[in-house]
Amino acid sequence: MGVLILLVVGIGLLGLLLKRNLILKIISMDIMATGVVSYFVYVSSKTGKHPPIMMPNISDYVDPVPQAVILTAIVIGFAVLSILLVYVMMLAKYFPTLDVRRIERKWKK
Amino acid sequence: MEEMIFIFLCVFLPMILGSVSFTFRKARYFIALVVSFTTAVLATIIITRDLTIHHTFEGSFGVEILIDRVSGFFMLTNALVTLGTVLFMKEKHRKTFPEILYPLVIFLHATVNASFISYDLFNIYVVVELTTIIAFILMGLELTPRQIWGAIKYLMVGNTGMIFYLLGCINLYQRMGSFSIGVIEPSMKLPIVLIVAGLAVKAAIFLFGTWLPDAHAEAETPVSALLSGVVIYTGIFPLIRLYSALPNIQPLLEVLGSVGAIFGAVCATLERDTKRLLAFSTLSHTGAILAAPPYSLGFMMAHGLFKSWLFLHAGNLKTRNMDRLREEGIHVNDYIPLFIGTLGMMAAPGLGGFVGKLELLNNSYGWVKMLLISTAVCTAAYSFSLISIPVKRQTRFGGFKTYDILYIVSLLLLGIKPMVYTLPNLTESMILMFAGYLVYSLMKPIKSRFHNLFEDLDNILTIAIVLVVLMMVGVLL
Repeated sequence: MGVLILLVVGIGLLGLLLKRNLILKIISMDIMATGVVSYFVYVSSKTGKHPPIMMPNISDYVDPVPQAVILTAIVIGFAVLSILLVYVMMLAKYFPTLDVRRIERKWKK
Repeated sequence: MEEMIFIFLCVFLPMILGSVSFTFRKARYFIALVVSFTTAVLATIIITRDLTIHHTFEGSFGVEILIDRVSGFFMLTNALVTLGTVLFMKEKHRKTFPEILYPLVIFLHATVNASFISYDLFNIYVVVELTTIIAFILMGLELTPRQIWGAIKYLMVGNTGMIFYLLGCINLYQRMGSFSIGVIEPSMKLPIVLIVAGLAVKAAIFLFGTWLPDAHAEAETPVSALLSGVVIYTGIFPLIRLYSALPNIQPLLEVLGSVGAIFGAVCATLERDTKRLLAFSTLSHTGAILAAPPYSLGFMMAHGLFKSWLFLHAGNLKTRNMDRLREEGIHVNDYIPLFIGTLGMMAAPGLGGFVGKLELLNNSYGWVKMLLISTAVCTAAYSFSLISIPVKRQTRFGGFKTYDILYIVSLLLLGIKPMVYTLPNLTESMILMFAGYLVYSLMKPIKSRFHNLFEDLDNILTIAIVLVVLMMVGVLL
């Protein structure tokens, strides 16, 4: 399971490196972040299968700490994603293209 | 109780006052002054009394903070640079900058302070990302295409770095059951490499930092000063903390730092644009700071001061093209501060840069020292190309501005350390400066733009990933 989740991170990384479209790059980055979030959840499920609420006759609880901290990372990821997309929209107003190399060629000369 | 007072005064108070300054426009200048003064006073108390406060909130998984001398020095730099920038913003005409600038600067001050006191990996992640988001908005303040592009590059590369950092964090948690820096064991090489790589992107070291020239040089003048003066340190500070907890990452930092120092310096000597030259010089100096972490505190403070000061005055000039500046000349009001700041950069005796740089050079050994010395020579070379800009005729010196006086006084105060002013040190500095002049005259005719190759988004990302893989292979073998 852990290997599969890390594979998701790898796929996101490949998309980030190989895609030339800015929006697709950003989506790939989000796929990477989703992979990391799932990995945190996976790690917390290693200690048990039950939600961390006191119940009789149960001792194998999920580790609440990674789940609790990753919530912050999800919020930060959302903020980063939204402001990035807004700025890409602004950029698309100036240049009618989303191709990374074409945008960079504009000020190479 | 003590720690609550410190956190309130240096993090929550700026946050609250920053929100207030959104509504009360007339008070925002005073609020910014109050905030940076508070931080300066707190930092001075920490440094002079040598306080150490270590505290974990709410049990063993809570937020962990550590306030000590090192964070005191970083906070003092933050306070002085913010103070100088705010005074500069006041000096300029009120309409020059967008309304949102003051509140964002105050928020930035708070988050940077917060990153200088946190001591667990997850808290560092949150604070560094918060700083990144605020810095991102500041970078693209005027919304010109180049600014937007620089900001997008910064956020994309930084966020990818932080994904690696998070993977390192969870790997550590799996093995240790805690996020505190204090519990990391030297044997866990893989997560440490991931964490160092993630922070190196934020600290702009070596090829991890090639997003920096575009982002820092295209931003508005006061924003560039803040970015190069303090925001860079949110990445460097956790690395220094990691170093003091785990001295065995020293070889890694030495390689990245010293090679990055010479790389940035060579790129800066080839540059023909004032603000980009200063940005490449930041890239070089962050490397130098990390090449010998325990001895670089003085250099770190001096660098934050002279770099932000130079950025403020480089932004005052009419154009950024150095060839055109050479033809036209610049006003003497800008030349004198640029001259003094550049003397600080090339480590002339008497200013803070001299003490800091010699402390660095005298405490490094072997090939690291060789690389740092060549960096110092290159630094002197590009400093000469800044100084050699002529003064426009028939301009009169109108006296220093308030922020000039602040920067000069603090650089002079940093330069007071009688032990350093020995004959060998002074000769060394003179020889370095002379060698720098020779390099400058040799490099003058070269017009190469090879360093722009490293700045494409695809190239930055690919190089960073390759570098991470190389670091992993190097550490595991």
